Amino acid sequence: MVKSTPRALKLENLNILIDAVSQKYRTYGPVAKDGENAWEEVKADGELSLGCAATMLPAKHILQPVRLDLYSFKSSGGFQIEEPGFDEKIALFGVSPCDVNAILALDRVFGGRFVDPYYWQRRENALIVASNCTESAEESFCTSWDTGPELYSDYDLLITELADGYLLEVGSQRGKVVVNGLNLPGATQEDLKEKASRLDAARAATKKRLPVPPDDLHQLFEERYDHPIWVPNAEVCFSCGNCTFSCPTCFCFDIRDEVKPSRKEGVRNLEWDSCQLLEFAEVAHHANFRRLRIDRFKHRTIHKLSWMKQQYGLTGCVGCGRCVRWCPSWPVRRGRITSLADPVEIIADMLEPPEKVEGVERPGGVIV
Amino acid sequence: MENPYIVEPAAITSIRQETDETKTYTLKFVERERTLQFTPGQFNMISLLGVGEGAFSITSSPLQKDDFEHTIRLVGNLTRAIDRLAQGDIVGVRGPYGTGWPIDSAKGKDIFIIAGGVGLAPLRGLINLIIERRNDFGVVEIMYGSRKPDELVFTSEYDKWRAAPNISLFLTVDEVPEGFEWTHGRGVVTNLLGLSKIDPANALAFVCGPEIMMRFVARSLTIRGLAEENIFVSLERRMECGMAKCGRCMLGRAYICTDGPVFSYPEVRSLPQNLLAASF
Repeated sequence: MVKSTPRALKLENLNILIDAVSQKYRTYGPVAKDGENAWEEVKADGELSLGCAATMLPAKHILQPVRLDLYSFKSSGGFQIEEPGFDEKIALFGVSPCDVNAILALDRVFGGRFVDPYYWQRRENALIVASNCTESAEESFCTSWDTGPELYSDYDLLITELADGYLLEVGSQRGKVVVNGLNLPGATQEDLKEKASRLDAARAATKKRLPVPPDDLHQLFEERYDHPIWVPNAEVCFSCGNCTFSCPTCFCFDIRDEVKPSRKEGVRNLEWDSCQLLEFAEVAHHANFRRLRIDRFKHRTIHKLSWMKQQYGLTGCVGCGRCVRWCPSWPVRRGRITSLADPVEIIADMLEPPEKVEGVERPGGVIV
Repeated sequence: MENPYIVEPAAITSIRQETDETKTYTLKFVERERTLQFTPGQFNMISLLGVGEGAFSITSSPLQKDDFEHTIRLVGNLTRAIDRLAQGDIVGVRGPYGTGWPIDSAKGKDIFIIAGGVGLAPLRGLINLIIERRNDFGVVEIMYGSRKPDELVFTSEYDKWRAAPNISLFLTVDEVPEGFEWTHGRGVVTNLLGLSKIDPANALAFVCGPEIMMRFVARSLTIRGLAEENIFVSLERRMECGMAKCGRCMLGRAYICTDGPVFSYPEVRSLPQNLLAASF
């Protein structure tokens, strides 16, 4: 990855930039909604809620909508297919570093040998206005993965909040085009120093850490795939899918056909799905390759923390903490109430000596 | 940007009834002269627009250039709709996808082809390819089991297979209906290995069937002295895309659709959540 040479500018307020971006792009950002933050279209006067993985859902659904039309079809003897157009230029305004890293992982999933045009036509034209995190949420552990609180590359524009405005760094030609003509003053050495000290403070404030180095996870899960602690954990999993829907790197989907009553025309669409749901791996005759909750629980956990790295070379967990926050099951572990989905807690579970796990006489797979 | 989700229309040019529930469909692309380039063991995604799409192995030989075949058993919604199709009807096709049987490494070697039920489907193209290129390969023993005699597929080709030099076909079924004349084996397919004359030191095995059957076949073959890395199996999982995107067919770190469906036995043993897994 080429490290971009930042051109640092000083920005008085964000409205100037939102205005400039939304003239060229349909602009989405984290906006307060129903007591949470959501990725919504931002107008120039909109109030952004920037911050550490501030939104309930990550920005992935702007690039890969929850539901999208692959194509419409008409059949009469043979069939005709009509593809939807892609001409929208979108901007993601205020993406946190962890979420930018998650987008890089999605780039590999939807790229590769078979390039997914639905994702890539949006992605290719998208403007990434990233926002460094000057504070740290309790659930986040990005420093363990080096996916935050600071972003070093892969942005078009990067903002960092300062005491008297924002530092604005330009990371690409596309970003440059947006800020050209704004006549922004250059940032001073003091501004750059302030950025560094604020991000150091955010790093120091990120107390939550993986208990082992990321490179050791592969071996840990391989060796402890049958660790007895999976059993009590899976038994208190609701199999609701929150951890996967809120995960910025989860990408699984379903393809379904919707037909008009004539059955002669319809739409084939793609919709997010989750490996945590019972039906995910079900086939004909209700045979199910992942019927047991423990298998689904293990699959999600190990895929995020180990297998995705093996598949794509990038981590499947960026430490945003959304799964920690949105998991509805909070068992007591090590004397504390913890989020069941919390990767840090699960890894700590794995490190418990297997022989010390008590009361696991159940076969470990009775719960569907 | 090219769209790999788009299906191409292909017409059904003939249908052969294999069993009560299974038919072989010959397909030909409608809109252009296109030869499907594939290796036996690979699959296509077949669509009935408005019903759905599924992964089906290609069952013809790759040397059959004008058209290609799929052998499909009626098991669910999509296959029920496919079962109702007639000659001349159009389906949507995209593919081929996945890994095929490692034919190049089988050259000059003896080959076990071991299948259970409709698991013979992804191996049938290989058998016919071997017959067409008979001198490239050594002795071939096909060992095929099904539940009942009337569930055996590709029966119309058995005479041709038996007539080819150095190919043996051994059959076995779990149960024979009363009054049915059956001169072949009874019981599980591993029983047939006792009839083998192949030297495992210079052989490969290609296996497809239910996972539990493949587990025992692989074990029996290794006991006979076949090296684990010379055993290849074909797995199946639900798939939506065939292109390692939808995540559905994932088995540990492997995608059945692109890393498989044909895997070497040691590869499958290293993956979790399947009946051949080492930790099972």
